[in-house]
Amino acid sequence: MMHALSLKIGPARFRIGSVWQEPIEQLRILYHDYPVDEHAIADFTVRLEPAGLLRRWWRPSVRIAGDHMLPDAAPMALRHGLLAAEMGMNLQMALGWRRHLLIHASSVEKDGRALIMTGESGSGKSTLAAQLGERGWRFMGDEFALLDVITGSITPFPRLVSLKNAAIDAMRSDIAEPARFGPLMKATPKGDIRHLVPPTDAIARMNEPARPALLLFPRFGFAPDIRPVGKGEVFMRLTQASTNYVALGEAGFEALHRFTDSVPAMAVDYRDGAEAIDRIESLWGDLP
Amino acid sequence: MGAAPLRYYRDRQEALVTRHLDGLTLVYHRPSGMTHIVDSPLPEIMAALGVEPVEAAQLLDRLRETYDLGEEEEALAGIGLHLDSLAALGLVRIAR
Repeated sequence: MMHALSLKIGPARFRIGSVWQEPIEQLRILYHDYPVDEHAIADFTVRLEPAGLLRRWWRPSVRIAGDHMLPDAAPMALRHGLLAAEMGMNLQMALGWRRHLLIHASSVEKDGRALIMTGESGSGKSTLAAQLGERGWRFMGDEFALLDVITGSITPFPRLVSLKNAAIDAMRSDIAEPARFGPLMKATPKGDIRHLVPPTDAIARMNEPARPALLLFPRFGFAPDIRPVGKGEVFMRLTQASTNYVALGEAGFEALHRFTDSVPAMAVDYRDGAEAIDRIESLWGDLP
Repeated sequence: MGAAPLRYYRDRQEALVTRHLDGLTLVYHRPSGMTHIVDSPLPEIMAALGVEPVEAAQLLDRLRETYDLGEEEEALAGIGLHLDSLAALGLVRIAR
């Protein structure tokens, strides 16, 4: 690969290579504050390759390749190369990481305790974590919560926040520094996307785990409501939200049982972000 | 002459990891790596089974020592259905 970047996000080291310079340069700028060690051995390799023989120059299309691949992933336009790199890193984690139980969830921390939010795409978990990260909480990650199967704590994975559609303007009004935003990528397979660099303390403290204290199932676009979720349902939904529960076997079973048994869980329906944040702060304040 | 009643048994205790969660029972089945969430009376039926095959009627006698199971015929039919569903999950085996 002509252009390459090595970077460490939380416990995982990636090496991203591309025949094109642009996506690597964009990553280099956005991941400027992250530890870089060109000599470290990477956990995962992500390659951005031309989708066909001529596709490097003619209507350039990017195919995401790496240690772990999905056979049917469609190529993406080069102008969305940054998104392809981010999707590639997520894919490697989802398919290949074995050192933690991976839960498809965002997480933030306060006073050494973690709030975990899980839900379908569009639930708002990513935006809520990003917003809380600007309001006195430490942002730990918007995509994967890494549950340590031995200690039961959550390890940060604070990669770039992937803002989609309306979330882009919501965060633009929160954050004054333009340098924290990546380029606006319009009409990607996931809609309009713009990446956000997490706050400085989220990056500086990315090796600091936190004890899970509250699990939320946010749901955007529904009449405001808060209700407890039964532990059986929580366990089942988390097995579905985990990308490597089956692969971890008994260790994953024991870790998820301990997590579900000890962490209170609530469903939070909301129609706007400010209202959701008030409710989350209130629930957090009520914790023992 | 009718077919002989089926006889059921379970894997050795080491094959199963059982954890309680809010009134439910989580079972991790080591040989298959599968997780099951089961509710009463399935955990009680599994606990009463041993590694030696028994018929449903024998199992009912064992369960009666601890539980009030009501009318014989209805209880036997119920246990038969539960055993079949446990066998379908792979948590109980049928002796051949």
